[in-house]
Amino acid sequence: MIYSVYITSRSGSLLYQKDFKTVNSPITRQKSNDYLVIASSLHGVHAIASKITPPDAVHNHERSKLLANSNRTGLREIATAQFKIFINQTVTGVKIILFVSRDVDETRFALMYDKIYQYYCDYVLKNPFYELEMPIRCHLFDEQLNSVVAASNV
Amino acid sequence: MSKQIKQLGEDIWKTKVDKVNSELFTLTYGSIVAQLCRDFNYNYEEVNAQTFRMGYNIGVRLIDEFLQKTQLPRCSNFRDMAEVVSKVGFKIFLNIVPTVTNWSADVSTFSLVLTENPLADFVELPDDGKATKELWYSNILCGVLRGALEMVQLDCEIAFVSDVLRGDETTEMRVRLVQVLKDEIPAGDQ
Repeated sequence: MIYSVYITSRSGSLLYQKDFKTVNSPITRQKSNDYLVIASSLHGVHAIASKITPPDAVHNHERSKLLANSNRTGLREIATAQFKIFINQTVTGVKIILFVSRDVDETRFALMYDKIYQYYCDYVLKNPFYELEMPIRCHLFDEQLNSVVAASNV
Repeated sequence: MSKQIKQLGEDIWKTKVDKVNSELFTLTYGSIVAQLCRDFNYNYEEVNAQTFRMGYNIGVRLIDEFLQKTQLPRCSNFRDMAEVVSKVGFKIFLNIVPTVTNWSADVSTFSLVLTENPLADFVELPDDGKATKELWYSNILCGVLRGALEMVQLDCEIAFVSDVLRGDETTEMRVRLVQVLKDEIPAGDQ
């Protein structure tokens, strides 16, 4: 189950946030300002995690078969008793953050992430009237995202 | 390494890329350049600047699609990057593989020689004595590459040095690495 999707820019500002209605969702609605705070906090913790990781640790990452791309030493995952948060960062620095149910593991997250990244490229970046680094308001992207969420929330 | 990259480019071209009729593409680009020439009263320097800027705006967006489709991590050196640009980048977007050549001694500059150029099919430059000296017809490609590389923190200078349309023997783009923007590499990456 996907509960929420966040997309943040290279500088940590929130570009996109959406909560999805599901039965018994453990995620409560926040004020819009709080979403900005959540996004920038995650951005900060991600950077701290990366800062305190010794450089040699990167080689371990290369041996493991985790997601390719870019999040080698930053924060990847947070788990609570109710839900998990997965974070991945593209080489360009955009972060896609998913709040999901506890049964989602890294492999399933990778599939969801890849689809969402693809739709971000197609329906956000290829929209000639979307300006980079600005909040995403694209209907087509919303629709595609809904389809990804619907597929995972059956 | 080089072989794997070539294979990757071909696989993505075959399975993940939507294709359009190349004539549609060629004619669209041609009409844009021709219109720009008219709009700027055949001031070719300005036309070069405009096509470069258009390319730049495409490049800064296109790079994410490239990364999504290829799933490639950051390149560890400039030589690998040149290989990837030619064998994967040009391959998946234009179905051509320019030759990487003419490395400078300090490995900061190389040339991409375009043996074929889908932008320039059917094209003859205007016969006004000026176009063959001033206009870089395919300058949009320099812009695209410049924008795309900048988004992965490689500050490069890119320009054409020869073009078969001008009567040169080859079409050659020169790429020079100015600097790696280390401070801007996102946290969590190397």
